[in-house]
Amino acid sequence: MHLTITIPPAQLRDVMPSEQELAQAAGRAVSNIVKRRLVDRDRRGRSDGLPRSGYYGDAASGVTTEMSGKTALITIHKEGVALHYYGGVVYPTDGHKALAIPKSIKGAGKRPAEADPDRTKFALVWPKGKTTGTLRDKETDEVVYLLVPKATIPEDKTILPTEDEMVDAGKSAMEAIL
Amino acid sequence: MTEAELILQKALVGSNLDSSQWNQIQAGFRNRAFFSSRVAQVNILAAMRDKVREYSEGEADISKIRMKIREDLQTLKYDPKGATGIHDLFSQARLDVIIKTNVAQARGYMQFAEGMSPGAFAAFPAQEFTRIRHSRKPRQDWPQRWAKAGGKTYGGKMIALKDDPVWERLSVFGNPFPPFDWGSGMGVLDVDRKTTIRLGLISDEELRGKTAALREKPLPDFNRDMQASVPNLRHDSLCGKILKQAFGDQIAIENNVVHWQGNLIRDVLAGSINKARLGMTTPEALKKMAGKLPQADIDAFKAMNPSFNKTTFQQHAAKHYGSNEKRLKTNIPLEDADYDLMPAVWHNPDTIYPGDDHGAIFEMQTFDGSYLQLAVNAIKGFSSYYKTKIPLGAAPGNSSFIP
Repeated sequence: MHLTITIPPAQLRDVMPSEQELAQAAGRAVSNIVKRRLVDRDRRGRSDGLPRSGYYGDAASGVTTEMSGKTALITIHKEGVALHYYGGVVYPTDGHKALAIPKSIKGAGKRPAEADPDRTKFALVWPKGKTTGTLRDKETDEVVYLLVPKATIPEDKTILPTEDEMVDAGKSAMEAIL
Repeated sequence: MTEAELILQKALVGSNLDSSQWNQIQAGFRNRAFFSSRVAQVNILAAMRDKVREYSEGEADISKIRMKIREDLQTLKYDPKGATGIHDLFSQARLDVIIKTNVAQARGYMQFAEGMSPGAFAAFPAQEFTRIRHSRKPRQDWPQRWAKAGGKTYGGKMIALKDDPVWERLSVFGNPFPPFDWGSGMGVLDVDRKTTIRLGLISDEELRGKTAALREKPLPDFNRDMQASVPNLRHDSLCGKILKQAFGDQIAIENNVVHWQGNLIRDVLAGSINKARLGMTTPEALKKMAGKLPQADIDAFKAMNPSFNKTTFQQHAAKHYGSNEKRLKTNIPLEDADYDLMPAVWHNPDTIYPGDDHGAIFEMQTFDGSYLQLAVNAIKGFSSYYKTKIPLGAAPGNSSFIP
């Protein structure tokens, strides 16, 4: 027996998703697993003892999906995510001789110029012949920033899902609405 | 639209309203405004909006952005007048609230709008309210607030359909998207179709119906076609006055309904309308004319509601300054923020200088240290609007170029 069911295109549109809608579903699915991975990462905390900054949580809040026809472009709006993912070497810019890495709550989330705008609170200690220096609290001698000529950030592919995981997520979302 | 574009589209609303008064204004209108509690100086808001845009685009880290805003505040001679902590615009606490809340709201809206596309909604119709970012002092009362807003829990998880009114009731901003409170690290994670149906939030058939409805009527454009019914709203009511003072001609009030008209200046620039008006001369401006302009001209200004068109904006000084080489060198092309400041220059300029032939120049300093000048004629209305490096006060007699 051969059965033919004819559905007028207008009605078909009501029950079948368009290609663009499939792309919206797949794009959202990939965006979701990227966001979830960053949220999980945020919950882990830091290993250096400094207060947690919520860096990866901010990154998770900055995941957006931009649709262009059947293409979904997923962006993480957070400075430094690509650097952590691919790894790389960071050098000082804007004429500075060193990078300042916070080592105390007094410097967390702040550049030295913001933490000590009048340059009265911190003392620069850079022993001759050494490649690193410090900015210390003049009152307590606490190291507020470690000064280094460059910093190497190791590649960390685990901050994002793998390509296979993204493809699987996209496929599942499309299958769910078909 | 990107989140940076969303931020730049917000109207600059200078006002002395505090946060509780701002909360009386409907969320839809508040979302279209760039404001900060008790900040009436629009040029300060322009500076902040510009730096918030920079942060949203990842052009600088938040520490650098705070430093840049503080520089702008100094340029604009902001005086905290003894205010400390969150009430002082120089403070880290206040700047973080301004920067982070605006960026988070733009991102929240973007993610919400994406999630309400027919395909995304069909695949992920619900969302879980959960902690997205670590907070040093997390609020402990979210489960109670969720229940009070009418939310239900499923296996201990706070889940609801994306179009459930619980989201707007949960938010102190009245928005269906994060952030749901000041500085909150709580947000949403999508719940997939299968789980949503299994939990009994919606049936497969209902979901198909809602998806079809989204195809027919997608989420409206952020900056268009918005209207809100406000009970007992009159032009002269407190709410009507606040709205009108805040949004000027960007809103129209008719029969208790407030219509959002978009940004008239951008519409004139884009050519979608030929001309627009900025409203009557304000008492503040009239006060600044006193003793400087002839009384007959002040009387003419008092009765004036002039219109402007595309030719009012002077990108290149040559047309305006003629052969005045000295002044030509001071010209600066107008940018987006400068156009948005035009109503503020008209309504509340820093200074008004007399010009030739019934003319006056309304002047306001901007955060980049330059000066916006609006040349107005008491008889003919707006003449030109331009930007220059040097204030008129620094160059006595130089107003002779006024047409």
